[in-house]
Amino acid sequence: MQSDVILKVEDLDVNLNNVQILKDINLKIYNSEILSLVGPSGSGKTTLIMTLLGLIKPSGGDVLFAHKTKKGIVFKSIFDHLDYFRSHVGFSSQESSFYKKLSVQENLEFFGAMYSLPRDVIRQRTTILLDLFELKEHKNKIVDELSGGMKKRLDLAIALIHNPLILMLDEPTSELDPVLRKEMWYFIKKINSRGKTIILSSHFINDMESVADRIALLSNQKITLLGTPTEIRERMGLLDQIIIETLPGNYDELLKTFYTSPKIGLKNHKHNFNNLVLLVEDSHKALVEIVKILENASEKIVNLEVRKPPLEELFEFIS
Amino acid sequence: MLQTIFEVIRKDLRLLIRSRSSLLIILLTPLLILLITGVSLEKQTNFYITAGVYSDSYSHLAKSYISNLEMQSVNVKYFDSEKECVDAVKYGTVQACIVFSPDLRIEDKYNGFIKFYVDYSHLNLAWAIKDMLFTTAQEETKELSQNLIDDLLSVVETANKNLDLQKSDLTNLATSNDKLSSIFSTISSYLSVINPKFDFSLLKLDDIEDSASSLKLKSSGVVSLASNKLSEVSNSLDELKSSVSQINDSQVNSLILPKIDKIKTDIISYQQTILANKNSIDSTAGELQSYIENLKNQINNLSKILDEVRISQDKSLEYVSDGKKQVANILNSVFDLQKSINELEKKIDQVSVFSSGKIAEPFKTEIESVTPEKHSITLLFPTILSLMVLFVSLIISSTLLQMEKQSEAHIRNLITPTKTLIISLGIFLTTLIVVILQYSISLITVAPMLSIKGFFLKFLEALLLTILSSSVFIFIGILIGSSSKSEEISLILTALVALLLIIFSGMIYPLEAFPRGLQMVLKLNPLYLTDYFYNQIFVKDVVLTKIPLQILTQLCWFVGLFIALVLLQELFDEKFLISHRNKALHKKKKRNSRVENEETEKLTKLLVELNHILSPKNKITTEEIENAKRLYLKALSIYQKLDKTQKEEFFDELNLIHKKLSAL
Repeated sequence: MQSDVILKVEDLDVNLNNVQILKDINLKIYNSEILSLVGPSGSGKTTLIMTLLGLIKPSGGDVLFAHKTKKGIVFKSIFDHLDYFRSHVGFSSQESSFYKKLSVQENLEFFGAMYSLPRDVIRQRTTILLDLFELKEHKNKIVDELSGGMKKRLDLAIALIHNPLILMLDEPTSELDPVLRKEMWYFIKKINSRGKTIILSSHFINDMESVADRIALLSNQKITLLGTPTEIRERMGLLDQIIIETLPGNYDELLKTFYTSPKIGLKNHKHNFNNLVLLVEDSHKALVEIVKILENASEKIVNLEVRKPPLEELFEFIS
Repeated sequence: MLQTIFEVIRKDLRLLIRSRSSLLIILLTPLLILLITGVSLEKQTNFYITAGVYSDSYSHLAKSYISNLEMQSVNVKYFDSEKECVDAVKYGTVQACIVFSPDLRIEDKYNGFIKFYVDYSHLNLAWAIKDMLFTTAQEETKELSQNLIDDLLSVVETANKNLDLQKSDLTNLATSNDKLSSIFSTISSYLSVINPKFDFSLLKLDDIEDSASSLKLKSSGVVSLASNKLSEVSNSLDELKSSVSQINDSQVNSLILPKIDKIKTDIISYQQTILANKNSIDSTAGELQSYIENLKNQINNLSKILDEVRISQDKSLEYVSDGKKQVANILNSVFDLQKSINELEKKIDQVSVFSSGKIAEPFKTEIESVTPEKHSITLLFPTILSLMVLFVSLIISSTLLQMEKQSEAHIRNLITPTKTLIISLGIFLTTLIVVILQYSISLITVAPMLSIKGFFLKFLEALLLTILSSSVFIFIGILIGSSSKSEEISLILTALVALLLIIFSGMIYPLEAFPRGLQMVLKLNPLYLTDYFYNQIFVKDVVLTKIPLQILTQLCWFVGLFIALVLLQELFDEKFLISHRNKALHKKKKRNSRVENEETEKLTKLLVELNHILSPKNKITTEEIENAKRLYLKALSIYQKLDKTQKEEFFDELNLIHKKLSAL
């Protein structure tokens, strides 16, 4: 497994303006995986990505990248070999990073030159990327005239102009409507399928379940959870979610009864105005008891739903 | 690296060109400035000035001055009071106010004046107006001076001629004086020779008197003696006769006695004669005595006269001596006068200028240009070009840098292996290209208006210096752009720096007005140097090799600013990243809050609508129930998106609506 590690974060501390943003972060990023950084707003996702890019110098710890030598793989600090490292990393932020007054092709060519790629390589890569992101027909359009989705695609294409090993995406789908979001995830998966390691941050946690190979939950300046979506579920005890909607809906009274019943095994709950979301260990056992209680309380069941809780809600419970 | 720089330049140029306003500003501004200046100043050196005039009483002189002004295209406006005239300058109605003293004329006892009021807040114009009005006044004064000097000169000339004439008179006077002096000397010697002293005792008049008395006495004695003796003789004779008579010799008697008688008669005659002589002697002695007495009196008178003569002689000698002195003094004065006249003559002879024009204006104070006669546009061109280079370099470089920094693409550039310095260098070269382009356009545009010899060589020389100076300003612009957080700050800083450079470049206020020490420092101002370069090349026809010190100074600026940029680049990058991160966070928060606000607003509206439909007063139709359900589901979907706190806010209301709907 060690040979697959492409990036290592060791005991990373980041202070900005005397405020600790990240503390004791340890992380290994594997080749060709999609690692998703999730967490509440201000948890340090962007800072972590910026640090991984070498844009922010940590106050402690280091970020190491795997460097292949004849003797094998050697890990080197990105901060000591910034130029080399950056030539192998692509980046796309929540805001599209290109020149709005340049055309699609001009943008690609410009950034290709910024990576000191030879002209023919730039041309070749531009053609490939225009094809990959379905922008060929729009290559001569001034970026400002493109739609939001096309802009995002171009942003990704630019991030890949130098054919990086790692692609870091900071909130790539923020501000996108669900359709475009889906499209974006599609392209990200497509890029990943070509062997690129992707580190991304997103607040669409639920989407991550289908997109990310691994998820790292950042909260309180630390990574509090790290693993594949399944591993995270397992670690959280494979809880089930029961959603109950009743009439007249005296949910406060009902909750008190649910918590006092050991058969239900209620771990947590969410009280919505029209329903109750219950997090239980075993939905089968719990359901029998719940129906009984509802009958006793003369609550008419309007809706009853059992499902695996989405990750977002699981993280909500955790936080 | 070269390819990267080339791409940066290409990108920046594209961005500039695609921004129409930038393109317009870049290409047309210099043209416009040069054309406007060219058209307005071509062959035109005068200002169109309106001058206010006032006098209690306009004399011929004042009127002549005013008509002179009018001849110089000065629009003259008459005012009824000095205050009105001065106020007009303050309000800008007129550019200057000229006040003439009443009945301005030239007289010794009359203190005439011409007072000028100008507005120094329009510094350059004030000097130009002052210069123009004073020139007219000077010409007027010169004419008057010339007339006065003409009069004065004719008097001097007459005096000179008279002096010539008087000079011979003076020589005659001197000669006469000499003669007079010698006469005085002769008189003096003659007078000195005269000795009015006489010792009258030497005359021994008393002795004469005594002698006369003695003679008288002696003659009396002799006479009496003689008489006595004669008497004795007579007696003796009588005795003899008697004796002879006794001799009775008749013969003897006859012989002797007659004889004795005769003798006796003789004696008697003798006695008588003696007596007569004695009387005569006595009378003569008496006469002699009276003569002596008279002589004595006369001598006394003479002595007195002699005394008076002596006094007169002494006085005369004194007068003669005084006269001599006076003559000597007069002679000295004559000599002095002669000397003075000689000197005066000599000085008059030495005066080589006898033309009133020359005296009124001894030197023809012509301000000759050190360069061949040029149009005003040629003289102004260096300043215009310097300002253009300054503004274009500063503004484009700082704007391009700000555009780069404000562009979201910059963060991507930061993670490429290309250093920010390369991007800055790209911006530097892009701006330089624009400046060179503008310089070329400007020069080619105004070339027909400029009387420049060897245009092509000068074009190249100035191009080299343009590159040097522009580089300095571009680096300043890049430093400003790099250190500014926003475009606004960058623009303000650019304007401020440009303003400072202009103020201390001598373009507005002459550097010579500053203390000498400060002047030395201010002459290091890169804008001053730029203006100096263009001046040397286009106006003074000086070759580059003659101004190595100034070129070296500008080169030092170039190197210094480049080093500063290299040293500060990392700091700028770090600052940018922090600011970028803060901006991103701020944007995210803003976006979230905006979205939330939009959602809560929508939800509130839906709830209001639902409450209206479900109000107990209304009789709800099936259609309305369906509509309420639809709105409820909409509200529900919005509610799900809200955060915990906001959900709590809407929970009760939605819960109530839910219950109402369920009841239906």
